[in-house]
Amino acid sequence: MKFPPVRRPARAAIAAAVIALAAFSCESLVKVDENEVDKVVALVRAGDAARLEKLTALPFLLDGEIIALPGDAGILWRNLKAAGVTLAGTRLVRLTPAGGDAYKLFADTWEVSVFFKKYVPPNGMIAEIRSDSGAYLLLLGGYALDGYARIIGLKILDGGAP
Amino acid sequence: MRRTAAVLILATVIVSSLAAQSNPLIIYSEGEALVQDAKGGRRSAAIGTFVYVDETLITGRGGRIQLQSRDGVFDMSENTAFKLMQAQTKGKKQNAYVVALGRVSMKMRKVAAGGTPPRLGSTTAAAGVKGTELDVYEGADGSSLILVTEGEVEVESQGKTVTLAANEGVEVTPGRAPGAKYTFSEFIDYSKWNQNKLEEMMKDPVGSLKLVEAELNGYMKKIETMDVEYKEKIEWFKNEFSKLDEIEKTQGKEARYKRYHEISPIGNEASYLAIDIRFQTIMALSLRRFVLGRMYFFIKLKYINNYSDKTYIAFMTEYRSILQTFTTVTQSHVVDQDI
Repeated sequence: MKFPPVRRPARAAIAAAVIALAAFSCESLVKVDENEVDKVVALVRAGDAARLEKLTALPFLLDGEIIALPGDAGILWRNLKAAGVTLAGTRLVRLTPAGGDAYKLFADTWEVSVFFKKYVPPNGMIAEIRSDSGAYLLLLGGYALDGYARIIGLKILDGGAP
Repeated sequence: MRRTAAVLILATVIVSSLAAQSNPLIIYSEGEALVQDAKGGRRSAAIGTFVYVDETLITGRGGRIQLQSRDGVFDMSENTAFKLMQAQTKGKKQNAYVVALGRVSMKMRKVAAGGTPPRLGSTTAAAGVKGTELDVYEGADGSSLILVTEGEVEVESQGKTVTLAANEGVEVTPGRAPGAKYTFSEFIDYSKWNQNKLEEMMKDPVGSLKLVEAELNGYMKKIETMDVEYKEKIEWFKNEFSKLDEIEKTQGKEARYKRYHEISPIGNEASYLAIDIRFQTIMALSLRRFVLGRMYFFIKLKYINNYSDKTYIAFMTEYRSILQTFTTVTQSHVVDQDI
């Protein structure tokens, strides 16, 4: 069975449609800068645990612990909200690319080094923030979701983390 | 409508027959349900797809997965992590199904005469089955609960065994022998049971940590003992194997074959030990990830406004010490893929 040849204008339309579809469906890696950090901090400040849970990657890192269960991201953000962690008065101290030895900022362990190698995308950045409710490291990166960077890790600096 | 029903029935029959023959097959899933492969990659737990050794099935809130294999049918509840592994008994490979956290209902097939039954259980209790139906729970503090609805189950922990008949259950605290068995008339709600376990852990985090440490130490002791034996056997085997060419040259092919048959049982024993070491390592790693790691998670959040609290400091000191020992013993057996 022979198909009729596709005419030039039709070919152009198909090509345009394919490009448009590709552009529409293609996720883009977020450039994690101060603005992206501010957006995530604003969600914590607003106590939007549901959206924070959605943005949290799996597995994610809490200090040096790899958290693998989907429900635990929700528990994390709800508990932080309940504990009054509002990140009021936050200022960004430092923004560090997550490559190389940066994993040591979370924990200097083999497990955490492997976590960074396997689960942290090339655009991953570690944001050190200080607020009225303590100091934290936020590990952000990956593909944009609803216009936000993914939250890959959190380190609570004012504590007994390993 | 009839046509749709017929297609569904046919699909179920095909799916079931596939599962009976080969790798475990996902026959149903809903909600948040995924499979973590041996390299750490995650995929959706799609109906009609296979699951392989060293993979972990994970359900989140509202999630459910039903898995069918030649050994039986497994029904995972929400917030559960369920691992598939390979083990061996007396040189015969067997599947191992381990509840690392959450609840799994199991309907096991009868093992054919001469067949090797699968290994079942949690990271703190092993269940020997004989064509049975049972539920295995593992809680936030590492405690296990095994409830039998049909047939007979032998529950083993710390070298002690309890035999359960239908409508009997037993709880196992990590690092301890099984508790006293009891009769039940209806199933215990996993969420409530787990919530109690979590609250008990929160009340005495250091005590709970010590129990998990005892369980982990059990795994590490086995790993160390088997590792010594494995190294001895594999060294001996390699050494003897290297002499085979010389034997062939000086005494002929017959002598080579004869010697090879003499030494090969030791080579086999070494490979069985390697499987056992791997099994114990993954069990220990599961306990470390899904119980110890989550204990840290909950305690870190509980004390977020008071990290100078004595209980918190004692917990963290003990936790670090456990992790250090764990890393020292297991690091040569764990690979990047396991993380």
